[in-house]
Amino acid sequence: MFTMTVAGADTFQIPKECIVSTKFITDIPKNSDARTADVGTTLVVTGKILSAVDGDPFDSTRQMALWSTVPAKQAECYRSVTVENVRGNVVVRKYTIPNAFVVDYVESFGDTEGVGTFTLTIKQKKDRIEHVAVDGSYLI
Amino acid sequence: MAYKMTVTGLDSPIALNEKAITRVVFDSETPKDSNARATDYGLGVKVYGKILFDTLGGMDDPTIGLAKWSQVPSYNGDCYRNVEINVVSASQVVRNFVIPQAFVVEYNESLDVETGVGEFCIHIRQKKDENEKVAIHGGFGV
Repeated sequence: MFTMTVAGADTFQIPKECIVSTKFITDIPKNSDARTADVGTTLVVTGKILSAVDGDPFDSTRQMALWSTVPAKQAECYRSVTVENVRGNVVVRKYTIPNAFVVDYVESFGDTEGVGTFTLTIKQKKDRIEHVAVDGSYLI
Repeated sequence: MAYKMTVTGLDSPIALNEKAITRVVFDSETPKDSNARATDYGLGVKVYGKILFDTLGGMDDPTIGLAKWSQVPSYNGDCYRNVEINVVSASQVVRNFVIPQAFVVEYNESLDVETGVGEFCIHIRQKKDENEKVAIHGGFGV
C-alpha cells in the first residue's frame, strides 16, 4: 500500500488505490574512478487514474498534471514529496524529497483499460541533495 | 548458495545474508576495445536482492543503510566503505571478496503492489587508484 503526499502551494495526496509502483534511483555517473560529487536522486511513481463513483474523494491525480505544467520562474515548481510504502503494519519505506521538481509526467488513456495510467518522474534539486531522507522498517 | 555481505563505515555496519541477497556479480571492468592489457580497469561488484520487512517491526532493514550510503556526498569520507562478500556453498567459502575502499556507482530499488517484497540493486566499485587492495579468496572451509 502506497501513499504519496505533495506539499506546496496547494497540498494534495495520491490515495493508496492509485499508486502501483515506485522506483527510487540514486543517479551516479557510471564511469567514475572515485566517489563523484555529482549525485542525483530520482523517484518514479506509476499508478492508475481512477474515476470517482459513489461519493469517493475526487481524483487527485489531476493535481500532478497541473504541477508538471508549472514554469521554472514560479517557486511552486519545487514541492515537498513524501511517499510511504506500508506492508503488514510496517512502514517498509518512507522517501522524503523536500525540493522535488517534475522531470517527466505522462498520462495515458485507452479504450480497453477502463482506467488511465500515469507515470511521474521527479528529482530532488541537485544542490540540496543532502536533504533527501530514506527511512523505514518501523511499525505504523 | 548462501551469501553474506558486510559494509563497514563510520556508522554501525550493514549486514545482509542470503535471505535478502539473490545474486552477486563480480566484474573486472576492463575496456573492451583495448589492444593489450589496459591500465585503466575497475573492480566492481553488483548485488541484487530483496527488501524484506519484519511484521513486528523489530528487524532493522539493512537495505535502508544501502540507500543511505548511496546518498553520501563525496566530501564526506564515509562515502568510502569496506565491503566484504562471502559466497558459501556446501560448507565451503567459494568466494570471499574484500573491497576496502568501495563507493556506490549505482543504486536503485523498486516496490510495487504485485510482488510481496521490493527489490534492490547496488553496484559498488573499488576506488580505482587503490585497485591492488582488493582481495579475492576462496576454496576454504567455513
